[in-house]
Amino acid sequence: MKTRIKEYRARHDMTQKELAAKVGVRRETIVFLEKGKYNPSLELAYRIAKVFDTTIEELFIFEEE
Amino acid sequence: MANPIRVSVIRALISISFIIWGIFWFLFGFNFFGELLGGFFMIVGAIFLGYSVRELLRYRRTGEVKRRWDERAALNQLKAARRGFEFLLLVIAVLLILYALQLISDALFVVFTGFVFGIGVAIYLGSYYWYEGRA
Repeated sequence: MKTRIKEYRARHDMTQKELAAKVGVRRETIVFLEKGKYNPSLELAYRIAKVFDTTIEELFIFEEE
Repeated sequence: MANPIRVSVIRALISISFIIWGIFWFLFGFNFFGELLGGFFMIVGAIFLGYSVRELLRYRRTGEVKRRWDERAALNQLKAARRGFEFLLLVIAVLLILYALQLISDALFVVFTGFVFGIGVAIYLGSYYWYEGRA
């Protein structure tokens, strides 16, 4: 799964640490999310989307294997 | 509201109890495996004590507590627990069979069980950090 978190983070001028604090996870989790190595829970995906005032579909791009 | 550093304080206290328990086991362990287990608990206790003291010093210096737990950590803990459980299940089953067939004595069975438990804990901790490094 690809994400546009990094892009949105840059747009909002936000660091990984700040985003992590806002959504209540560790900075490392944001790193793995941005790399597409970790699939977040629906709740976390929703919280991140809410921070950027966007939708989950806009932020996370699911690719069929 | 609970003190944000309380987890580190609790961890430090548990680490100290591990070290004390390890020293007793090491000094009064009745055989080599007892000493080995004592050594293992002393090392684990010392590592976690060092880790907790570092956290406490950071808190005193910056007033910040680094977040250690989230959904990814919970998921990785579950995966690691499964690895440890599978190991324990398999090895204890083998030990029980050996014991039932009277291929090992009562004392040896107890010693091996303790040793296997120590390895199981090591597998659990090792797997957790391995998973943490991957995703």
